[in-house]
Formats: sequence, C-alpha cells, structure tokens
Amino acid sequence: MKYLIKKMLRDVQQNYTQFIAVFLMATISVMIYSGMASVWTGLSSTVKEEVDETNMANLYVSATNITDDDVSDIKDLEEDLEISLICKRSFNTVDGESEIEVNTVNNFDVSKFTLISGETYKEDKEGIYLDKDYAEKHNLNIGDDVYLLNAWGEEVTLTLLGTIHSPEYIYYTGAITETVPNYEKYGYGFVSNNTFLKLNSKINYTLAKITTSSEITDDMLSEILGERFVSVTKRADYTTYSRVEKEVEQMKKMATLFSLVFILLSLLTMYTSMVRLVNRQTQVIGTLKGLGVKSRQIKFHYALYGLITPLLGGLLGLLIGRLTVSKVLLNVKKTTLYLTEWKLVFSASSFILIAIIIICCSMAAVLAVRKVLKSETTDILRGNINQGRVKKELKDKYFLSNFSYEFRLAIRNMSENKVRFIMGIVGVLGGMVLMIAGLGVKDSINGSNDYVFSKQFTYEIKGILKIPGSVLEGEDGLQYLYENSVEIKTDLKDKKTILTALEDGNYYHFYDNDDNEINIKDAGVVVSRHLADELGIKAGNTISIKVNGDDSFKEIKVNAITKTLTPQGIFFSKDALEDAGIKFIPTSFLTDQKDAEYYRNLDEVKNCITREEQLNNTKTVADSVMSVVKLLLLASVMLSVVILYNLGILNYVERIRQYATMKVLGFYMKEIRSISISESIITTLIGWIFGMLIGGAFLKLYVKIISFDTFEWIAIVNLRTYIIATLVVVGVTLVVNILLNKKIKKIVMVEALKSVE
Amino acid sequence: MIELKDVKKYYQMGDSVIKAVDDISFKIMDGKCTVILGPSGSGKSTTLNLLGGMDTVTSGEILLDLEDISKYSEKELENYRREKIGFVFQFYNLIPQLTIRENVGITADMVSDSLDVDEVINAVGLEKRKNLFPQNLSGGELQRVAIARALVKNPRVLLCDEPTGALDSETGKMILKLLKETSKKHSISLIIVTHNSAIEKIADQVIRVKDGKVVSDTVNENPLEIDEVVW
Repeated sequence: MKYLIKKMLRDVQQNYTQFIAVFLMATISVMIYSGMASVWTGLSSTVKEEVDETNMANLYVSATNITDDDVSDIKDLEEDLEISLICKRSFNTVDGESEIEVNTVNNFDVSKFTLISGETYKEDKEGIYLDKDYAEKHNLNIGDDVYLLNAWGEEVTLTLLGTIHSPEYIYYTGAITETVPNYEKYGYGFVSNNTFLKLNSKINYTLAKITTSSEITDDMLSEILGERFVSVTKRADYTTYSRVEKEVEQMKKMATLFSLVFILLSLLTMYTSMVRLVNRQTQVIGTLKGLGVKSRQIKFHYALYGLITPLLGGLLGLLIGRLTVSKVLLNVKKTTLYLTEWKLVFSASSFILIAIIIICCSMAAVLAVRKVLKSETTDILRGNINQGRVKKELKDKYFLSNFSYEFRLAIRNMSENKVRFIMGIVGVLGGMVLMIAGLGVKDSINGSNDYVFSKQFTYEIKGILKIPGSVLEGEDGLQYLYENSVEIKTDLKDKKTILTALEDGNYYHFYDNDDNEINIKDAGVVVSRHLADELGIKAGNTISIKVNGDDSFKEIKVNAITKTLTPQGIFFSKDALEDAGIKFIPTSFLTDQKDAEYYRNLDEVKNCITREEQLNNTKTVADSVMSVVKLLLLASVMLSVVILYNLGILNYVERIRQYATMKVLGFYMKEIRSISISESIITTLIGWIFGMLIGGAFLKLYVKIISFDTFEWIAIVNLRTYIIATLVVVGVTLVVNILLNKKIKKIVMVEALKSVE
Repeated sequence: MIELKDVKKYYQMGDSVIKAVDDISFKIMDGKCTVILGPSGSGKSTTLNLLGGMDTVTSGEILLDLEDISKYSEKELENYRREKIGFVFQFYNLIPQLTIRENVGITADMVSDSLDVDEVINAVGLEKRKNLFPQNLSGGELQRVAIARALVKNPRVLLCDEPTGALDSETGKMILKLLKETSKKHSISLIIVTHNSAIEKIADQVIRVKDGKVVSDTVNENPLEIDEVVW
C-alpha cells in the first residue's frame, strides 16, 4: 500500500492542475458557505445566550396604567409566570441633538439588562444606565453628567452610573421614521423610579413583560385588564428580536441559495474531474489488476484521490472563511445590530458540506475504477473498454457535410464527449447565472429604492405628530396619514402588519402590477402585493382586521392589490377607513416643503425625516446586503475561472494526441486553434444563452427570497449587468483558450505521440 | 534528393546524454523506396522524426532538394510538414470524430495541388467504407486510410513509421504493396522505418542503423515483389 501512496503523490504532482482545481473548488465553496454560516450560527447562539441570561420576555402586553393588582391577577394565570412592568418615555438632551428612551421598571425579574461597565443597579441610586453605543458615541464615561430636558422642559442632570446592553435593543432605530440605528441621535437607558419622577411627573406602566412556558391568550389578559388592554406581542414578533431573526434568516437564505448553485457547480465539476482523472489511468489500473493487486485496494487507492484533496481544500476553506468572509460579514452586521459579544461558531452544516464534497469526489473515483475493473485485464490493457456505442455509417447527405471540417469535428467531438460538452456549458451557464444574480441584486435593490422614493412617494418631508389626532394649524398643503399596527386574519394565516390611511393628497401613490396608478380615493382599500401573496389575498376578497387598540375584528373588502414595495400592509382612503368604523386619527403628515428644520422646530411635531434621508437609510440597509453579495460575486468569479480553466485543461489533456497528430500532418496552429475554439464558441454560446435566461429567473427567485417582510425588492437586471456578466464569462473563456492554445503550440509532437504508442 | 550530413540528436537525461542519433550521414534516392532498418533504440524513429520536421537536430544538416531543413524556423517547419511530407504512423492516429472520407479530405484541403480525395480512397480500396468512422474499421483498413490521408497531399516524401507493426503478416504485406505502388505511381519518395528485416527485401535502398549510427547503406538492385517476401 505504501507504494500506492507514493504513486498517488506522484499522480498528484503530475496532474497538479486538476488536483489544484478540485482543491480550489472545495476551498471556495466551503469558504463562502462556512464563513457566512459561522456568522449566523454565532449570532443565533449569542442572541439565545443573551435571551437566557437576561430572562427576556416572551410576551409583551401593552395596556394603559397597569397596576400591582393586575400583576397579581396575571401571575395567578400560571405558576411559572414572571412579570415586570415598564414605563418608558423619550427625553431630549439639553443640546437638542439627541434623544434617549428612558425606562423605569417595577422589578428586573424579566428582561434584565446586561451591565457592561459601572456599578450594579440599585433602586436607591440616582443616575442613569445608558446604552454602551450611545455612551461611546458621545464620549460619556462612568461618573459623567448627562443633561436631559424633562417633560416640562427643565434641565435635569443625571450621573452616568453604568453602560448597559439589552437584547430588546439589539436593533434599535429610535424613531419610527428611522430604519437604521443612529447612536449619534438615539439611545436608551434605565433609571430608578425616583430618578424617573424627576423626568416625568408620574410613572404610568404601559407595558408588562412576561415570561411563561404556558399559553396566555389575549382573552385571558383582556379579562384582567378590561378596557385598558391594548395588545399582546410575542417575542418572535417583537420588533428588535424579530429583526435579528429576519437578518439571520435573510443571511441564511442569501448564502444558502447562492452557495447551492456554486456548490452544485463545483460538485459537478469535481465529479467529472475525478472520473476523467481515473479514466486516464485505465492502463495503470489494468496493470495493477494484472499484477494481482486486489480490486478493493485499487478502489481504495483511487478513493483516496477523492478524499485527501477535497478534505484539505475544505479545511482550508473553513479557515479562510473564518478569517475573511466571517470578518467582513461581521463588520457589516455590527453596523445594524448591537450585541455584547460577537461570536463565530462553526456550523454543523459546514462540516456536512465538506463530507458531501468528499463523498462526491471519492464516489466518482471509485465508480470510475469499478467500471474499468469490470473488464478483463487484457481488455483494460488494450484499452478496449468504454468503447461506447458503435457509430453508424454516415450517409452522404448528412446535414453536417455542408459545414467545414473544423465545425464537423467540433460538433462530433461534442456529441461524442457529452459529459465534457455538458460540463463546458454548465461552467459557462453557472458563471453567468451567479454573475447576473450577484450584479442583479444591486440593480434590483437600487431600482426598488428608486421606485419607492421617486414614483411611490413624492413628498419631500414626512413628519410624525407628537400627539396623534392633532393638526398643524395654519399649515397648508399637508397630507395627513393615520398609521397604526393591525392584525389581519385570512383563511391562510394571521399576520400583524401596518395600516395606513390617507387623506386626499398627491404625495403617496399606488400602482397596480402593470404600473397603472390606483386612485386610493376610488379604490378605498388596497393591500400591498407581497403581503397579499403571503396571506393569499386577492382583489375582491373580504378579510378580517383588528386595529391596535380595538377589541374586535372587522370585515373589510379589499378592492385592489398594489405593487407598493414598502411599507407592506393595508391602505385605506380616509373615507373608506371611516366607513369601516375606524376613526381617522392623524399620526403623521406629508408635505412638499423642503425645510425639515422648520417642521422639526414645531411644537406639534415629534420628529421628521426627508425623503432623501429615508432613501439614504434604505441604502444603508441595502449596502449591508450588497457587501454579502460582493463576497458571493467574488467567489463566483473565482469559481468560474477555476471551473472553466479546469475543464479547458481536461479537454486539452484528453486531446493532446489529436493535436500532436494534426501538427505532424502539417496543420497550421491557426487551424488547430480554430478547431479548439469552434468547440469553445459553441459551448460558450449555448452556456451564455441558457445563462442569460436562467440568470434572470434565478435572480427573480433570489430577490424574492432575500426581501424583507417590510420591503419587497423587485428583480431588475440592467443591460450593464448582462454586459458585465457576459464580458467576465466570455473573457475568462477567452483567456483560458489563449492559455490552452499556448499549450497546444508547445506540444512536443514526438513525446505526445510516443507516449501513446 | 534527400541528404543527411553529420546529423546528431542528443537528449539530456539528468546527468547523462542520450545519443539517439550520433553523427549519421546518408543520401536517399528520389522516387524510390528506402527502408531504414534497425532494432529498438537504434535511432531509426528519431531519424524519421528529424526527416519529417517533427524534431530538430542537435547538429548537422538535413537537405531536401538542396534546402537545409535543419535551419528552418518553426513556421517554415510547419509549411514543410504541410506541403512536402506525408506521414503514416504505426497506430494510424486517425481523427476518430471524422469519417474516412473526412479524414482524407481535411488533409487534402491543406494543400493547393492535392490529389482527388475519392480517387485516393478508391485507390486504397475503401470506396465502400468511406462514410464510416475509424471505429468501424479493422487495423488494415485503418492503415489504408492513414496511407490515403498521407498520399492525398501528393507529398514529396512519404514517411512511414513501422506501418505494419500493428498488423498481421497478410495485412502487412497488403499495406506495403499499397505503399509501394501508390508512391511509385505518384513519384513520391517512400521512406519506411522498421525493425522487420523481411521488409528490406522490397526496398530499393536499405539503411541499417544501430546505436544511433549508420551501420550500412546499400542499394538493392533487384527488390522483390511483396508477394515473394517471406514474413
């Protein structure tokens, strides 16, 4: 066996191109997948730990003025039930530059915070515990003073007692108008009840955080809280937590779907590489068999070919993935999520992937050897195996006879070597699909953003009213909106989403699937397409809705489905809302005026955001997706190069004898080149055509899968993307052809022909 | 006239030098059949490769019609092989994806004054098999295709490397007969390299080589007909 090991090492040395190709394919596939998987596995694991450590609530009950009696009654519902009451309110800093959401609690049984630095929380301590990121952003150290304006506009000085983190604030944007965290502007903190009373005249607990392993229904809580009951949110639906879950889910889908394509591509290429590698060793296999080496040993020997290279490649992929891909992705995620610790955890699926690659390669080698070993030794040595079917006589009127010999040769070569031909097509096709999908994601996100912020929204500023229902006196040209959360019930499923009702105005536009504008005043009730698909809603359907704060469901007829990309929800005209028995209470307004500062300074306005700021925020989210896509794109290009070069080299090695013969017969290099290029052109052309078609379809699926619930991205591919993808794939094919032609030119005729004889 | 003058072909193998052809000189008669005879490793195939422009000399001259091909550039050698040389291999080396007619036709297309493809195929007796692929033919038939492929270019010299080496005696004889007759018909210089001494009897000139050197160079005044040769 030791001699066979030596032989294997020398085979690797002699066929280093193919072994390196298999090695690289395994490395790239594992690197990308495991690099990303480490991040989401680590993220999930850290969040889970934080949830456990802080005893994060699994139910959030909103109500007005929750009392100690209510707490006792709720506790009586289940034995293991724990409950904490929270009162929170946002206060501006004295400089007016930022806003802190200050929490005070009746106890820390549920949803404790994690102390990062400073002293342990004590009820009698005066001061504030601030979130670490906000404190860092504002250069605040323990013992520093924090200046806030209290509810009646007086300055209150609070000492910074500690920096903290809470899993409930992993994703915290501060205001409904913001879509990405902005620690410069928004922070959160915890204070004792006494301290809170310096900021606010009273403590009104409006949120109860509950942990329980039992099922607590809305009715049970409604019975206890009566009319004060507003709503219950499960942990999975709680904004920050669900955001993390969605990000993990999105990352998983992005990586898995993309990786699936190039892993399949790699596996196919690795499989054929191994088979072709073994097939070139037919004589050696025959000799080994003739010498009496057991079939089992021969199979094992070749199985090692498929074991060692992918194993080493896979392990290197794990390492590089951890050092590069994970790091990049981690930095991206750190911009939108805050965790006390960012861990990378190797996912079991990465090891499964390596195992699949190894099994695929080893099986390929073993199956190829088995096929050879089935023949008699003498036949193997004579090369009388794998003859395939005997070709029939060609008739004179054979359709190819009108073409050049080079073309005929290329066509018959391809029909005779179907695996080689198909793999060539798959290589080009795969490269095109990955490239179109990668670049297309960027087009799609940018296109979707443009659609939303130029076609769908035409206002300049969106403002949030401090007191819902109030109006800005003396301001003309405003369009008021009523926004609230709503529970929609259909035959398919229930979902909490957003209800938006609009006064007459021209700042919010709705379009149908054919981009014809829907007049909301005429349509009355419309549902966004993505949500409609999810809930199985069609125009004309009747659905049940329960607006946040209402105690019963109402039957509503949906008149149209709109292409609206964001927000995803149900939209009413003011009249339709009131016809449905829901009061129109303005919560925000839209205007075409451009002076955001003017509106920010109005007493009635809580905060406002310009359309441009909204677009930039969306772009930040898109950038985080794009950085992942860039990684995938880079891997795709690398993989395409390796696959196409490997296939090219395999073709060259298998045809070296033919090229040498042609050289001897006096063929010019350009003639030999034209034969090899004809084949390459046909393969590339077919791969390119299918790549263009499948690329677009794959992008559609990909964009649909990675879209957030709240923002439906639409698949758009610019001409530029098709051109770049084509140039890259055709360019790689061209470079591979140039390299191979150099090799053909360098063929030593005597050696190439001697080796055969 | 083909002439080799002080031709050497040395190969470096590690520290040692292999003298495949070691200072050989001979002249080959035009339009005749010349056999280069020698055992394995004698340098006969290397000599043929040098003559065919497939390999280059270490030193010496190879003259064809007074032109020294050993001085040719890669491009000139390419033209030389294309226009002047026809090559028949021991193992045929046909292009498996082309039919018999196409294998011959593709070579005919390389030169301007080629012979008629169908006539050549008829001459080698394969008119009924011309639309078959090489895979469907026997060894003898394959070698006939190889000969047709070499002849169709109407080359100045026809080089055959062990053309009967893979064939049985009867088929071998048939191939030799074909080679001799067709080359004579088209006034092509036929050079056959072989280790089979039976073949020397049909040659007009016999050059014996051993250990890279010419041992003898004789003219056969009365070459035998193929049928008279005992294999």
